Order: sequence, then C-alpha cells, then structure tokens
Amino acid sequence: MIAVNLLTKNPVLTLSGINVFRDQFCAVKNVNLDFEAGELVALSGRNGAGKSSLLLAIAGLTNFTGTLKFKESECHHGHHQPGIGYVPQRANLRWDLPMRAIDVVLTGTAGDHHLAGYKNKSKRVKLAWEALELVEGSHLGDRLLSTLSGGQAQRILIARSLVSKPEVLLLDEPLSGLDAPSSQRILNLLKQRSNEGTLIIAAMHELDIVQGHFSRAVLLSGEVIADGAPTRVIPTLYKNPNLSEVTV
Amino acid sequence: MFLESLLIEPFQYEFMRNALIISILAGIVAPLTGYWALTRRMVYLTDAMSHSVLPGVIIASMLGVSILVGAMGTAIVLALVVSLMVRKGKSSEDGAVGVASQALFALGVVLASRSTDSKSLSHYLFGNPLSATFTDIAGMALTALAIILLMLWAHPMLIATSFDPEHASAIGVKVTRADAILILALAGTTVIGLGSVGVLMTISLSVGPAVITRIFAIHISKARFVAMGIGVFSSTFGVIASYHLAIPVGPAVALTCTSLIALSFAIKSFTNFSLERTSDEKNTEKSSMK
Repeated sequence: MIAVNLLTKNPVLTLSGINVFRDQFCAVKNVNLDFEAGELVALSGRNGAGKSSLLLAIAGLTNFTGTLKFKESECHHGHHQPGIGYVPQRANLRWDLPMRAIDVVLTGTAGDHHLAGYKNKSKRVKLAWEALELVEGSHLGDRLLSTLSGGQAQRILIARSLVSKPEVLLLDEPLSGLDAPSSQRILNLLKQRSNEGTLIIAAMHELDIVQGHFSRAVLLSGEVIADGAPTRVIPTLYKNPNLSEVTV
Repeated sequence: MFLESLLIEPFQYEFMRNALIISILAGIVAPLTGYWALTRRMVYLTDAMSHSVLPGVIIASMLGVSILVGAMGTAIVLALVVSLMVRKGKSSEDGAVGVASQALFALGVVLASRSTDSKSLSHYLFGNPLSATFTDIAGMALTALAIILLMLWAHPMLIATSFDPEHASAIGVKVTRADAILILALAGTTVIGLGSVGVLMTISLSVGPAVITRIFAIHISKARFVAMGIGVFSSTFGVIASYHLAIPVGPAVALTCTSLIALSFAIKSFTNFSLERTSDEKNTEKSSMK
C-alpha cells in the first residue's frame, strides 16, 4: 500500500481481512479499512478494480470472507443491516415501469413490511415525502419515471435510501452520465449528509471531483493500493499506468 | 328485444351460466398474475408453465385428486429442473425453460392419450367451460380467491423487487420469495385458465390485458384493476360470441382479448391517448384554468 491508512478512533464500519467473491471469482482481496461517521470516501480505480464488488459486500449483497462490522454488530452476506443504505447504478433499473417517483422512494420502506405490506401505510408515505424533501425533490414526487432526467433519477434513488435514515450510505458511480450542474447538486447533497454524520462511501471514476470534494480516497486494483487524503492518493494513479483507465 | 336475445338468451341454459362464471373467474385472476409476469419479464415462463402443468393435471385427474395439486406439483418440478439446468448445466434460463416445458407438455400429451379420463386432450388444450360442474366452479372460485389474496398481500414486495431487485434484497426483501409467490400464483392461474380458455390460450388472457395497460401507460397501482376489468370484459364477450357464432369459448375469449390489444394500439397511434397525466400536465391544466 502506498499511502498510510487513516487512523480512525471510533469506526462506524470496520473491514478486517475482507475477500470479496463474485460467483467463484475473488474480485477484491485482503481489505483492511476503518471508516468513521461523517467521512466522505471515494473508492477509485480502473474498471474491474473491485469498487462495486466491495460496495456490494458491505451492503450484504455478495459473498465475502473476513470480518465486516457495522458499529458493534457483525455483517453477513444475505443479511439485511438496517443502518446501511445502498444506491446502485441507476442504468440497471427498470425506469420503463409505469410508476411515479414517490412510488420508488416508497419501496425503500418495503423491507420492514414485506410480510404485512399495508401496515403503517400513511406513516411510510410521510417518510417517503420527507426523504424526497431531503434531496430537494418534492416537486418530482408525482412525475412518471420515464420523464425524469439522469440527475433527477439519481436524487430519487438517494431519497429511497434515505427513507430508512441510514448511518452508512453506499453509492455506486452516482455521477456517471450526469452533466456538471446535476453532478454538483448530487455532490452538495452528499456533503450535506456527510456533515450531518452519515458515512458516505461512493465508487467514483471522476478523479478531479474526488480531489476537489471528497475527504478520503481509497484506490483499488483487486486489493487496496492506497488510502488517504485524495490530494496525496490520486497522484498515485497518474504514476502507475496499470491503474490509469479512469476519467480525469 | 335485440339486446335481450343478444345478452340474455345465452344464459337461459345452465351450461352457459357455468361457462360465464368460470370464464369471469379466469378473466379476473389471469390478468392479475399476468400483469406481474409482464412487469417482471416472465411472460415466456408464464407461457411455458401453462403448457407444462398438463402432465400434473392429467395424473391428478387419473388419481382422483385435485387438479390444483397436480398443477402445483408440476410447476415445482418445472422450477427445480430449470434451476438445475441453469446452475449445474450452465444452460441459459430461457433455453432451460423451453426444453423443460416442452418435455413436460409432451409427457402430458402421452399421458392424455393413455388416460381413460372422460375429459379429452382437447378439453385441456383449448378449454371447455361448457362442461363445468358445480364442483369445478367451487374449486376454481376458491383457487381464485386464494390467488387474489396472495397477490394483494405480496403487492409491495412485488413492486420493490420489480423495479430494483438488488436494492430490495439490500433492505431485506426476499427476492426469491417474491419469485416463488408469483410462480405459485401463475400455476394456480393456469388451473383456472385450463377450465376456461385451455392451456394453449391462457397466456392471451394473462398477458393481453396487461399489454393494454402498458400501451396507455396506466399507473402500476391502478393497472392491475384495469387489466382485471379488461379480462372480465373479454371473457364475457367471448362467451356470448361463442354462443351466437357457434364457436368454441376458449378461442372466442382469446380472440376478443387480442382484438382489444389491436384496437388499443390503433387508438394510441392515432390519438396519443393516455389515462395518466404527468405533474407538468396537471400544472399546465391548473394554470390555464386560472
């Protein structure tokens, strides 16, 4: 590892000897990282470096070995951890369905009620509108999904994760395909959540944005190559041609 | 007088009344489950399932047990064989579904040819609601009720897993449970469809109404009910048409439903009609009223 790990005092998330598997393939190996509340962390690296895989492991969506702790409780593959929110890449979702934005945000509450779907409906709807307000998206609530722009869709997905008031928010390439004003809006939103104590971990390709806006960067290439302040870590990418398949 | 002979006359016979009840049951349940099959891109599986339940239904009929049990059993066999072929045989899912369902369908045809059951193979393939008994109707009504309750209960889970199964899984929704519920409901629907339009045409009554709701971009919360309305209309119209034109009920219902799809396409193409309005359209309407 090139940069020195940041020493954290009260980690909200601890990864010890984590190996992440996609099917039988080990996508990332031996990850040892601690994260504190309120950090704004970018996972960077070329395509296939393991950014998305690591996020999926933290969200409990793919198999891993090692110890992954959210505060005091140990996380496992396939087990829902209520304090961790996950925002996937928006390109993979069904934006063609005849649903309104508020319906998507409302699905963020489905996990708590999958056995009794109609329980506390009014409370759930209220929570969904509050989450939309957090992303300045109240006016989008009634819009059909097919009419949303990329930036608006991204805010809707973030709102869906905020419904459950997570302490850790994981985002997979949240700025991919967005124009500058939309990106700035999402970044402001992430900074605001971070300032309010939410640990944000985002897979990022845009290195100039990581340097300008994030408090910490973790470089991946099948394992952790560097970890630290973006201004120290990002130049590592320029020096190593094997890691340079990213947008600068 | 004309209306009376058109609408009332067919139902002076008990077999026509029974046919209407069974077809309406199918018209309610098939679009309800079919809507989710279309939404979750499981139309091919639905079609395959309607074919593959045939051996289970015939074996159940030969043993004198409920055909619902037979259909569910075959649906489970289909799911297990497909899962095995995908996981162990590295087959594609649609390839596995195609091969397994055709094998089961062929087995069903062979069993039917050896069966001494009073119902002929054509009863199962094309449906014959005219021969329905009170026991058939009672059994199908109970099955329909169970499916409706199951689908209402699973609605939030189905929405969450249809839009984004990965996120649904991350927040604790069991995606495989949602799939299993839908597969069971589809198997139950096939049993009801079998008594009405037959295994070969169940798919038209399942997916046809759902296709119409998609043409007009009807919101997911209302679309199921609109689809059920279209299903009931298609069934009723089909039964009446079968009486007056002296044609089989199953194809009459299927053709009604598919004609409505064609009509919907035409209306949409020429008028761009939609039952849904965006908030922008609502705002425009409000400001023009001021």
